[in-house]
Amino acid sequence: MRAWVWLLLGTWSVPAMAAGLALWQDFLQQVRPALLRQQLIDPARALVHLSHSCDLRAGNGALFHVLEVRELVRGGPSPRGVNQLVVLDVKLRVTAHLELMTARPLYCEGMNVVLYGDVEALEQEGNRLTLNRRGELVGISAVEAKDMQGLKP
Amino acid sequence: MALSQAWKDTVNDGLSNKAWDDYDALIKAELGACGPSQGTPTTYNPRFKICIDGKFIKAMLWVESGGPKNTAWKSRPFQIGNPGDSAYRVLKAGSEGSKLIMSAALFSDIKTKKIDEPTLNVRAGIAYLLTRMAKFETRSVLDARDTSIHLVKVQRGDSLDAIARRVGTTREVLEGFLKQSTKPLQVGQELQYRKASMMTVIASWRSWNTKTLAARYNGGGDATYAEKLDYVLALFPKLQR
Repeated sequence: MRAWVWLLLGTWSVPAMAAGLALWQDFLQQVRPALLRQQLIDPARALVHLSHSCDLRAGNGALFHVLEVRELVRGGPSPRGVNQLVVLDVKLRVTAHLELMTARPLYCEGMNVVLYGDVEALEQEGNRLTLNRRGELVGISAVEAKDMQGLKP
Repeated sequence: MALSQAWKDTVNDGLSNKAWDDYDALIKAELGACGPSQGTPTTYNPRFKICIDGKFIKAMLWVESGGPKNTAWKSRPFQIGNPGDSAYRVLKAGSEGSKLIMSAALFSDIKTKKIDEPTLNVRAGIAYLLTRMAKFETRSVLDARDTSIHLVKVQRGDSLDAIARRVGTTREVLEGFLKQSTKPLQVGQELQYRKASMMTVIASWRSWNTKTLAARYNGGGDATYAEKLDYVLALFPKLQR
């Protein structure tokens, strides 16, 4: 929660708030149109989850926002999920996205995103994504739960 | 997560209602016959090099469609083509490896016919499932139409990649003929090669179990999907036919 408050106030130019948490609606109203415009989400599907998981910080100072986006294809008794991890730069341009299926993002660590559950991309499989300084996915590796560093204050 | 009694009642209808078997013959035809392969005791489908148990497909059909009393049974039993469904787009484009899975006839039908036709919808559903269960890799593949061994002379500034591009082969093939030689290329040296290209191939298959099927086909949409498949699979031995 703290992360997206910072994101809203720090990088997305939402009107300054005196105190308390930024409104969920503000986050939704900025991010959803950006994802629609870039065809990452589909208005024909039900958007059932949209959250800001964490931020990636490149060595050159560039900042990237990591989102978890979950949609359902309407119609059937067991709707198909379209679950994605999406990386945006500070102008809300998509720099990377990949299919999560049943995996979920946990936390960021430098230019890595650690997941709960494995994903596949780049002919690799694992639960730790590595991105370059342009926010592009460049590698996937594995980290065991016992070796996860977790969120750092 | 517990399955609802309403859902259980729906699929329990399949115990005594033969209409739930309407697509059995189609599923069998799409998967192809599994028979003894030459020289090995295992069985496989000659197209997919794997013997796929049709009961998984039938269970998915029951879960996807909701059965013969649901209107989807006569239109989109496998739900392919629902608004916003990326599966239909993938199949129409032949992307994500699906072109390797589909027969030429199915690929043509998907591009030209209505996906609301139930037989085509089931065929498309099976093709998408197989696409999601296959593991694809990009590999160097020899040209089967040209089995002759060619020669190429190394030119100044050449690398194996540059030569491969120039003569229509791959670095892997050139390396194979060089037999792991670590000597640097010499100008004027003659290298042997066969024509080849880098192609996407089906390298292997994921495990055929309900958890993997749920993750790969349902994509994490319905949290009870694997449980539903398990429930339906447990019904099959009890069908009164």
